[in-house]
Amino acid sequence: MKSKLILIFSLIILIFILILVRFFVSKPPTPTVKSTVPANNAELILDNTPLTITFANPLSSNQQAQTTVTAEPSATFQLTWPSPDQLLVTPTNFFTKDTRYTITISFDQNSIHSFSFTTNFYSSLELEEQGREQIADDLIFGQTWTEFIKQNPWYKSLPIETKTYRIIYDFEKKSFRIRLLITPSPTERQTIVQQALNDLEKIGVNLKETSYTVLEPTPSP
Amino acid sequence: MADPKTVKENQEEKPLTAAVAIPQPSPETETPTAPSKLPDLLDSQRQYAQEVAHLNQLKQAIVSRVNQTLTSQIQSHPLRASLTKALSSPSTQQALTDSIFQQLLVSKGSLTETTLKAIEQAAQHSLGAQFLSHHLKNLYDPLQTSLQPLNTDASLKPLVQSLETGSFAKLQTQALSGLGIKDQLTIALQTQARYSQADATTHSQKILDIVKLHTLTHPNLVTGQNLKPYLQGIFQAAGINPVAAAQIAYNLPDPLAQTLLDHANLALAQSLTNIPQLSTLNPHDPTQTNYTKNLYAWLSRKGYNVNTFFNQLKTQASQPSAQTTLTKHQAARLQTTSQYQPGFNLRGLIYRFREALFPRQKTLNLHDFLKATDLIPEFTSETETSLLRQILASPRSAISSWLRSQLGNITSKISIQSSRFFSSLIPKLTSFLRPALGALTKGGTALLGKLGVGGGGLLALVGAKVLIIAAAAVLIALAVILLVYLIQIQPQSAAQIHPVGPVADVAFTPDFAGCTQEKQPLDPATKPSNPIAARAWEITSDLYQGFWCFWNRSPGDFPTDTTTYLPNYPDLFNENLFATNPNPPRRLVETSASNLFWCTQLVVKAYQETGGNLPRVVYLSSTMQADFTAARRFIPAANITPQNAAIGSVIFFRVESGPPRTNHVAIIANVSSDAVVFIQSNAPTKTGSLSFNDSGQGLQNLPGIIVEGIGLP
Repeated sequence: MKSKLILIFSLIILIFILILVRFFVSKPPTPTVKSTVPANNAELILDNTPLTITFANPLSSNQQAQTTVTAEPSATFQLTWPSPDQLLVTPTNFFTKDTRYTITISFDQNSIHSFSFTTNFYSSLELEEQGREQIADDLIFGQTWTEFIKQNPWYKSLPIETKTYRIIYDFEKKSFRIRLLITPSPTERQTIVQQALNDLEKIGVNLKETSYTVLEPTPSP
Repeated sequence: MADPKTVKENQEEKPLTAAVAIPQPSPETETPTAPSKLPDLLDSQRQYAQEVAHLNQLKQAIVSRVNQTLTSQIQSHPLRASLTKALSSPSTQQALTDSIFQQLLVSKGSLTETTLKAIEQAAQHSLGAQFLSHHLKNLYDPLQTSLQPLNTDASLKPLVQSLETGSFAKLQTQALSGLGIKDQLTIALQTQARYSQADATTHSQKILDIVKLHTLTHPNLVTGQNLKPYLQGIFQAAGINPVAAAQIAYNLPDPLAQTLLDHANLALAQSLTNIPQLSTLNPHDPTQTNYTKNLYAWLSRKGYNVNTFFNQLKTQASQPSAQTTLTKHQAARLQTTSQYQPGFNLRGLIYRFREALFPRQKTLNLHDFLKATDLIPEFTSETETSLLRQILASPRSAISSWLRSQLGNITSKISIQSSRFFSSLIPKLTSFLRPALGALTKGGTALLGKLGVGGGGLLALVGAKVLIIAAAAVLIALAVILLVYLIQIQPQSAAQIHPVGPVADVAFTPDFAGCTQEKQPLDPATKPSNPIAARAWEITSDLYQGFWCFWNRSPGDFPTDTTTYLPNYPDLFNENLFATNPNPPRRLVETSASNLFWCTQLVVKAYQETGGNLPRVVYLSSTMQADFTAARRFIPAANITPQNAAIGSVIFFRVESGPPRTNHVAIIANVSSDAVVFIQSNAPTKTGSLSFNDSGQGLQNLPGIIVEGIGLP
C-alpha cells in the first residue's frame, strides 16, 4: 500500500514537472522590436503607407504566428513577413486621413511595443487627383517656358558669375546688369566690363540691340 | 535616298503571286460539281487573294525604300552601332514594316503630311526603344522625303486604286488586327523580360484579358459617366469576396495599375517566384535585380496576393457582362486614341479595337459593336443604321467627319447640356402649352356656345371642335418652330457656359534640338550646403528627359539608366506610354499621377527626405502655397529680398496664359544680391534664375511667367 502511494505520488510529481518544463522551456522567447517605419510620432504619413516593423532577431514561424498588431483608432491589417526579422503591416482599408494612430505590437497577447504617427491631411486619393492636376499645370508652365527660352535663348546661361563680375538680365528695364564684385581701378573696370560684354556675345546676345548697366559691388546677402 | 526606279525594278523582279500570304483557292474547289453559289464565292476569294497580292507588292516596295533610306542614314549616324543592331532585329524589322504598312493601308496609299507623321510615330513605337526615338527623328526626315514619290509612282498607282474597291474592309481588318494591344504587350514583355522570353507569349494573352478590364478603369475617358457601378457589378456577378472586390476596385485606378507596361510588370512578377531566384537568374545585372526588388516591394506594399489578384482580374475580364461593358466603352476610347495616333481615321480605329479586343469573337461584328454603344445617348437605332449605311457606302472623309462629330459628342459638355436641356424642355413646353390650350378651348367653347344660342346646339358643338383642332395645330406648329430655333442656338449658348480651356488638349511638340538621352549636369555645378536644396539638386541631377523632353524621368526604368543619388523613383514614370508616344497630349498623361515625376514631387521628396518642415504633403502647387501662407511662411514676390530669400525655399510660379492659380514650383538653390537660382523638375530646363529689382527688393517676373512668392523652409 505504501509503495503504491509512493508510486502514485511520484507520478503526480513527474506530471507536474513535465507541465512546468513544457511551460517554461517550450515557450518561445519574447521578441524585441528594433525599429519601426514610420518612426514614433512621425507626421504627414500617407493613408496607404504600409508599416514596417523590424525585430532585433529573426522570429521563428511559431513566434510569427503569435505576433499580432492592433491600432487605435481601430484598423485592420494584412501581415506579411518579407524576412524572418521584418513584419510588413498593410492596412486593409487605408488609414483615416489627418488622424493620430497608435500601433501596438503584441506577442502571445502581451504588448511588446507601441508607436504613434499622424496621417497626412490629404488622403492618397486626393493626392492622386492633385498630382494629375499638377501634371497638367506643369505642361502649361513648360510650354510657356519653352516659348520664353526660344525668344531669349541666352537666358539659360544666366546668371554669369566670375570672380570680378556677375551678369543678370533686368526684365523690367530690358537691359543686362553687370554687377562688379570687386572695386576696380578705372583701367581694370574697363577691362572687366569688356570681358563681361564678351561673355554676353558668347551666349548669343546681340550687343548692338541690347543695353546694359554696370553696377558697383554690394555686400552679399 | 531611294530611287523610284529601284522600286519599280523590285516589283518587276517579284511576280504578284510570290508575295501572296493568303492561300489561293485550291483547284478541287473549282470543280463543276460545286453548288451554284460557289462560283461567285470563288470569284470573290480570287479577287480577295489578288488584292492581298497587290497589297503585299506595295508593301515590298515600301519596305525596300525604307530599308535603303534607313541603311544609308545609319552609316553616317553617331549611334550607328546601336541603330544597326536594333534595326537588324527580325522582330523590329517586321514591326517597323507592319507599322508603316498599316499607316499606308489606313490612308489608302495617300501619303499626306499627317500620314507621314503617323508613320514616323508608328515606326518609333514599333522600335519600342525610347533610347532610339529621338535619334531616329533625324532619320525619318529623309525617309519621309523618300516616301513622297510613291504618291506619283505610276507603277504603284494601279495597285493603290485596286484597293479602293472590293473587299478592302476585310483586308484592312486583317492588317489592323495584327497590330493590336496583344502585339504591343508582347513587344513590351520581350523588352522587359529578356530572360523569360519563353513566357512572354503566355503572359501577353493573360495580360490581354486584364487590359480588357483595365479599360473600365479609365473614368476620365468617359466624361460624366460613372464606370464604378459597372465594375462593382462585375465583381458581384463573379462572386468575388466583397472585401477583395473593394480592394481591387480601390487599387485599380492606382497609377501603377493603369498602364499596359505595369500590367506586364505585374505579370512578370507573378511568373518569377521571388527575388533570390531572380538574382540567380541574372546575378550580374544589378539594374534588373533592383528593378525587380522595387517591383516586388511595391506588390508587397500594396498587400497584393499576386496570384489571387491576377486570377480575380482574369475571371472578371472573361465574364460576358464585362465583355459587353468593355465593348461599350471602346467608342469613347477611340476618341482618345485618335489624339495621339492622328494617322488613324476613326473607321480604322473601330476595326482596330474590335479586332484587338475580340479577335476570335465572330458574333461581334461592326453592327453589334455600334449597337453596344447604347450608353451614348446619341447612338439611337436610327443613328446606328445611318452610321452603318454611311460606313459601307460613303467616301471615307465623309464617314470620318461624321463619326468624329458623333463620337465627339460623347464627352462633349455641350452635348450633355443639350440632352439635359431638351429632357427638361419637353415637360416645360407641355406645362406651358396646357393652360394656353385650355384657355383657347374654354374661349372657343364659350364663343361657340354664344353662337349656338341662335344656330343650334349641334352646329355649335361641331364648330367648337373644329376651332379647337385648328388652335392645337397652330400651337404645335409654333412649338416645332421654337424647338428648331432652340436646337440651332443651343450649342452656342452651351459653349459659352463651358469655354474651351486655356490650353488645347493637343500634343505639345517640344524643342527636339534640346533633347538628349543623357542626364544634364546642373548649373550650379556645386551641390548646395542647405540639405533641402542639396537633395533637390541630387534628385534633379539624376533626372532624365521624359515626356515632351521635360526633365521628368527618374532613373531605374531602363537598363541603361544610372542612379548617382539614391533613392530613385522609377515608379513615377510610365515607360509604356513614353515608348508609345514621347509627346502625348495632356489628356493621356494626366490620367495618372504616376506617369511622370512632376514639380511638387521634387519639393515633397526634398523636404521629407531631409527632415524639412513641410506644412503638409500636398501635390498641387496652389494648395502648397496656401499651406505655406497659412503657416505664415510665405513671402510675396514684391517683398522678397536677397536677405530673406532662404536657400531651400519653395518658389511659386503662375503662368499668365494658364489657369488663374499657381501652376508650378521650384526650390531655391542659390541667392545673390542680384538673382536667385532655382531647381525644378518636369520642366524644359533643370534650373532657372530670377532677377531682383535693382533696388534689391522684389523678384522680377519672366515674360509670361509670374513669380507669386516663396515659402520658407
